[in-house]
Amino acid sequence: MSGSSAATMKLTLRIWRQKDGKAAGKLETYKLDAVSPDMSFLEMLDVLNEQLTKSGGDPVSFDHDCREGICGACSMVINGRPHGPRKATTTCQLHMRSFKDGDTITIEPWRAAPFPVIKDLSVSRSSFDRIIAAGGFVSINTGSTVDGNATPIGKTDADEAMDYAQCIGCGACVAACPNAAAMLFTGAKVAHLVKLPQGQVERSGRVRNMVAQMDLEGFGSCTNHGECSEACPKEIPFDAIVMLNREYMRATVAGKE
Amino acid sequence: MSESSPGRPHSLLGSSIGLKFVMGATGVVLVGFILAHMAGNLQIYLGSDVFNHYAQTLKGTPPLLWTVRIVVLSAVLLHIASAWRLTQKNWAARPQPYASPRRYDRTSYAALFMRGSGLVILAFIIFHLLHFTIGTIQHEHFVLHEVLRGDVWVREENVKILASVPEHMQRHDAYSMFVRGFQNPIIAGSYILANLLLGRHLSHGVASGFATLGYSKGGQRQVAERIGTTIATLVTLGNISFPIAVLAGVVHL
Repeated sequence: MSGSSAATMKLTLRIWRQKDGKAAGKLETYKLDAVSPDMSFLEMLDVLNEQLTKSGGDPVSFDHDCREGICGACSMVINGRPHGPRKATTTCQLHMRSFKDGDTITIEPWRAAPFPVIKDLSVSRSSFDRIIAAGGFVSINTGSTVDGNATPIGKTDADEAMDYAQCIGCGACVAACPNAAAMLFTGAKVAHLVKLPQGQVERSGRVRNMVAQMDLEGFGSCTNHGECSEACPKEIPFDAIVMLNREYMRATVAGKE
Repeated sequence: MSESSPGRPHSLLGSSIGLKFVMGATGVVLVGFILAHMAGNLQIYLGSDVFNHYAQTLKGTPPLLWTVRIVVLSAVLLHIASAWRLTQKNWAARPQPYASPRRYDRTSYAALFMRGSGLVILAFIIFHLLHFTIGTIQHEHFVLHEVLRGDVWVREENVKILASVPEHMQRHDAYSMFVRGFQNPIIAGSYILANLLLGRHLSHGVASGFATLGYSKGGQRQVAERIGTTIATLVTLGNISFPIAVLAGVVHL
């Protein structure tokens, strides 16, 4: 065997094809003959789409943008796991060396009512945007620049806020959750802002409004499986949900304004 | 975009987290009852006099008995009602299931089958009440009584004698009811099975309740999980020991 052919893999892909939000979809099977282990998962899909386009077929629609693991656009359930088999890795940062020659790979979109399928693997995640718009912001005075250290923030608070702020809003937590709950996402946003002095002004209204919007969008509710933080490519800790519960209790049961 | 303006509280019980608080808070009440119920029943190992005295004390204190009954029954109903509402919302949140099986990395069977174990426990509670509280099942054991002769309580099965003895001179023979009930291997087996499932329900439920009520952050999560495992183990071992002890003849008439 020549060096190049020994290094490539033959793959069978089972991909969810769905014409639009209304059509019923189904898994279609495709074969790829020469996949390099050095390709990213999305590059492998690019190869498939090139092949489909050349043969007059309809390319597979999937979301992608930065392809460096920070934008949160790429979103697909690969072999039953959001973003595939590697921990703390987005689909775009997953490489084909994580698979073996001859593997069958099943690819599906996120499954949740608030994430309706647009086409194939692309889903609308506007529901996340509306949760953010409901309270994921801080009010600041514009005008002259504030002194750098005018508002001191403790090291542990700053670190924790940064941990929660790592959320890229990809929706893997919802896709992973047996209940399609968005509490890790919402919790990360609430916890990130509550840890900072800038987040105190809207503190109680924020959690109430974001939870109200989360419910309105039709997400499920956490039953403490912990699958969300396991699937999260940014490893947002499960603590985000505990923080969300605490903040919500503080704002509603304790009635803090 | 939000329907409620900033700072305006929306209905706590209408919200997902509000319903979860109800699950957690009623869970605390129910776990407290389950532990107390088990502790009380452990007196079976101290003999018939201690056990029947315990039963007599409970029945003889209606304010306590009925307060506990009403609180526990309300907690059960609220626990089920919020579970039902949350389940409806969760099912509606994923109308289309995954075409290929989801691979779970972290959760447990106990967590995935909470609804199943909960339904079996509900059926068991109804059966248990009909058996030992209302006395519909095995009625012949439920009517057993003891009468006071001098200063000792003795078993009396003669209905005519019982009818002639004044109320304060007789008491329910809960000990014999308990022992005779568990001498039936099908009844004993159903109690063992139900309590094994109760243990699984608690192993996830207790740790889960801690998280819902806001205690499970960082290292606390491990503590919460340990408390859950400990309570589940205690309740399972304690409760299944009763039918096993009767079947093994350790506890006998």
